[in-house]
Amino acid sequence: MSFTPENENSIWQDLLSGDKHALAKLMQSFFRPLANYGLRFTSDKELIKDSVQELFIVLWERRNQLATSVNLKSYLFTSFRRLLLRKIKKVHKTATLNLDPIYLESFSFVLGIDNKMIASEQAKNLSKHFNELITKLPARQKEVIYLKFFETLSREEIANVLEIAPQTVSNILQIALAKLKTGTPESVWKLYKLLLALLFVENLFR
Amino acid sequence: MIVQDPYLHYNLEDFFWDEQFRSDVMTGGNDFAYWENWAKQNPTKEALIEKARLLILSVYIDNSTFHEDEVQQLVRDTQKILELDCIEDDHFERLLPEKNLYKYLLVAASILIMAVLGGVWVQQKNSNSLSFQPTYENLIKEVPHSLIEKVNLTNAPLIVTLPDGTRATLSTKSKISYAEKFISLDKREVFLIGEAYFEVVRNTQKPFLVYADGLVTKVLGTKFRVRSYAIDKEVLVEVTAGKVSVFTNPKFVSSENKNSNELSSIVLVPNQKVSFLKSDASIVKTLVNEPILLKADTDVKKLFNFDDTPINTVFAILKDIYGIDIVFDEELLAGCTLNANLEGYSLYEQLNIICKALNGNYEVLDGRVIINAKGCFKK
Repeated sequence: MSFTPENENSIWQDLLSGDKHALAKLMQSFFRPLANYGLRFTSDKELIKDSVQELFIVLWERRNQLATSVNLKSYLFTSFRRLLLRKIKKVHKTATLNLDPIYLESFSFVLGIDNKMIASEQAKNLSKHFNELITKLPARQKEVIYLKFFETLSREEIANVLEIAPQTVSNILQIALAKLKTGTPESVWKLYKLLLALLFVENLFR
Repeated sequence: MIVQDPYLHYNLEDFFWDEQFRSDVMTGGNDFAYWENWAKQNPTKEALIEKARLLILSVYIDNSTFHEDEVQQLVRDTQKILELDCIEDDHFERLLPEKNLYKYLLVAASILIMAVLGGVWVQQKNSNSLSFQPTYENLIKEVPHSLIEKVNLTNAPLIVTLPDGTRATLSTKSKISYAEKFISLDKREVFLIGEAYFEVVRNTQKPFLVYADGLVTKVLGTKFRVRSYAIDKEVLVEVTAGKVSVFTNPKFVSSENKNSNELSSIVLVPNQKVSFLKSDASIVKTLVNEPILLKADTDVKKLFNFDDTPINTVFAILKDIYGIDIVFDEELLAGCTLNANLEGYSLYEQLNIICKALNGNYEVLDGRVIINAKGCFKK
């Protein structure tokens, strides 16, 4: 799914010059990262599919006005986030009564072990504990963690997507880290601390 | 020169972030066997590999919500839109009023006239409502552009491909009409009498609307069936995939019911249907007669074989597989378990079996299943 920076650039150039296949290729490889990100805001699958399609159609319509060199992933995440949140807001407005609870979530993700995977009790306990801590974090902190860890975006890229300053991203992560640390009882198993260390300290901004 | 294995110098963090390693851990099986072998050859690394695997597994997010077919379908639909140049044509005439003063004056004048004649008009409309029925003929008469009409007089279904690539499977003695091109229009409108199954090409920018009698069905990209023969007392809409909203055609709503327009539309998800009663324009939401399994690739054999399974789990599985809501008193039924193999039965048969075991019954209300049971004694 991932492109190297070189072919990422060449596929972008193809798109700008009006190659429909380039657009399809981009859509194919970015659908899942974008859609899975979208699922953190709403579980309405149809709304997410609509948003992905609209994103790529708008991209196509505006191909003559787009910058010739972009950071593709952060560009797509930024535009997609804006588009999806606008659509969710619209749903909120039109459905004042009987609002489906799926639109009320702000940002959430649940770690879990797929039944298909052979995992030890240790791993299961670890993710359970991690989940409990994550759910307590405010939406914004969760989102930064998600983009950092599951989409491996850099500090600058996250800043772009969330439309905030890079320094703010650092601050948010630091606060989240502090909270996770205090929420961890002494008795918690060593590996868990190791995990925190991996996620938030050594790897903070690679 | 000896090429050194770079993985020999990897620490826990390196493994944790290594894309190849990560994906092999996720897929498991043969892919991970490579690493198990590698660890055997490098015994000092065995503990490291296992730790890294454990960490990766414990921070996993389920990414299987979107089915591969769905992804491919969306990409295909989008390509179709581009190929049909629906959006490349910038010079199409929009059906919007032109911005010139003369037209504004006309509008202003007509508003004035309407205001003056308002009372008369309302009265007339009410008396006219009987002669102005939402029949197929009346509906297409209202359309400002020319339409193509397809009729199926044979006994076999007829597949009609609409200008946007959407497939309509027309049942016998049925008729649809639609614009020759959707390019210049901001929505895709289809008029139906009889029955048709639609597989709509998703185009977020142009909603797809089916007009049948007094009911409008609005979708973006999805699969659904509309049935509205002239002799039928009701219009039926059934959904197989995606999401559909239905509402009464505002043109044919009597003034006291004006609020029942698009804003109060009813949303349908797969395995739900609505029936619209032509006589009083009322809409009732239920379930389709034969709900289908929405997750075709799941191992149904294993899932439907219940062995002392808590009833909460049973309902959760049914909910997930049919995509329908099942309402029951969780506390009351907490002690109940099910011992049965439900494979090969329809949803309703399955519900009957479960309710028999629970000594209760079920009803379908507003597209949901409601379970009535008194609970079980713990054995």
